Amino acid sequence: MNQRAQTQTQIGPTVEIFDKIVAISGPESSGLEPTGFHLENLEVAAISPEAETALAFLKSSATARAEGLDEALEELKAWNGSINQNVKPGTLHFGPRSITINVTQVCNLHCTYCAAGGDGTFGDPIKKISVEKTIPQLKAFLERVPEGRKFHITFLGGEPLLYPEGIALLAEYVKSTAKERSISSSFTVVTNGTLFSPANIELLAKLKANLIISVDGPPELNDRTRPTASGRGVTLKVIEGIELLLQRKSELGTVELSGVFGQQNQDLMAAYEFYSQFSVDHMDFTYDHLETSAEVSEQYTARLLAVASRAFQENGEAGLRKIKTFDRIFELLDKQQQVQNYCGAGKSFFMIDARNQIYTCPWVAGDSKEVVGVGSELWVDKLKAYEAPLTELNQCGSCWARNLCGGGCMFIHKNKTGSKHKVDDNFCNRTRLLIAQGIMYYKIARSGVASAERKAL
Amino acid sequence: MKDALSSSQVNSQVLSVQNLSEQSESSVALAAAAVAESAMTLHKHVMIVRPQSIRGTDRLTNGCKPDGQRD
Repeated sequence: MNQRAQTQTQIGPTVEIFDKIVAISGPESSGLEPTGFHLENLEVAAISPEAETALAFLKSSATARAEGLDEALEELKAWNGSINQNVKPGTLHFGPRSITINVTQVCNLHCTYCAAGGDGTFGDPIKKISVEKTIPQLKAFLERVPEGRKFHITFLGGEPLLYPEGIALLAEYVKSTAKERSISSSFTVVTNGTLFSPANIELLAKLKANLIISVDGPPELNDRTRPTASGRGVTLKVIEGIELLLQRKSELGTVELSGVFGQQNQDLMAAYEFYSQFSVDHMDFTYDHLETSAEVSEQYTARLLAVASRAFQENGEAGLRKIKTFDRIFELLDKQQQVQNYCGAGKSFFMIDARNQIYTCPWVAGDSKEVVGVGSELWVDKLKAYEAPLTELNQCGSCWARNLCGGGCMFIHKNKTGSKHKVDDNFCNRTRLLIAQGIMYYKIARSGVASAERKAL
Repeated sequence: MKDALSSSQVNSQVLSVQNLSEQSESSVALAAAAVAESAMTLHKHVMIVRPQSIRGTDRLTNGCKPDGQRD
């Protein structure tokens, strides 16, 4: 058994690793029993205090045996050496299944952290996509999808609801073409929530669209980070729009409220309280992709852990899983699904900008060096760089969380380190802590531990 | 987490941590098989919790965070 040197903490749970076994402990004051995690089998276990001590003992390579630990040592070793036949590998082969389309490259807001040129335009004078040029592109993508499989389109911008006619035409084409080949199509619209007119809501209901509504919290926060170009706040209008939209919730897919948090906005609890007033399916506390400060990253993590604790205390698993980060961890553990790719960029996922240029990721739209195709052509030579699993490209072999993380976001890594495959330590520390805490919650939720332990978290 | 148990009791104990009425027969069978295959007594110091079939909702692709596992 190879010993891996990896411990972490300052905030959140502490982690001790021995080969494939990870022991995760809450703060001493919590009184929580430690949680075990098998990083290959994706199994979560309640482990005894003796097993936790035994694991530290194994790590120390000491030859003498502590009194009373033999049994725990044997159980740990047996678990470490076991193979869970039910685990699904995270292999991802080439095959576009999910496409994001910038139907517009213009926006009615001027967000402080906007990565699309500061105003949704990506610095490009083109304002909206050509439906006529996009339909042949989508036809080519759909032809690559095997019959009976799924195909997903995300409409992005700019602000996509500034061009509802484009969304309607493209979605109608995909729906009818997919149906002919028994392909299941679905749609998501990522919007700033200012344009929920009755006509737009009718369109969204017709598509049974999933909604991701970008809003950073209550007016005092959101008006500061997401104003119009003239600096006017729009949060009250967004609230009004969400309420109108939710009147037709049963005709829609999932509805998610999503905020961006970093230096400019660190009040995740205020955002949580704001989000909680709406009957939505999910809330996502996205970390600012351009933020590079370790201190801000730690503050964000601590605050998200506090939000998670409150959500779990108040509403148990259902409450916790409204937070997308934790829903993801639970889903992977339940499915016993390893992740070798944080995202499908360059494999299953592509994006199309308003000039019909193809990229592997919305974050690199507008960067000519990142174009991997135009029109109906995907440039195979450029895509070779994306073939290998991200965990391999990013050399995640020694990280205990690799099979639940998948190597992280290439854009974030490059923004911090200059290379897509040289990982950003802040990202990794954040991700490991959140995964560790998620595993602790999972153990409690799945083992039916009394509410007293839940409250201790 | 008391005394050592037989392998059938291990199955029983591991499975009993969850409300079985919520589980499909196949997932119960898989979990039982997984424990049986391991041929370990992982019940006193290491008690593996059983995964639960996920809800019917599909995980979605965000505009900027495409899910690598999505098919």
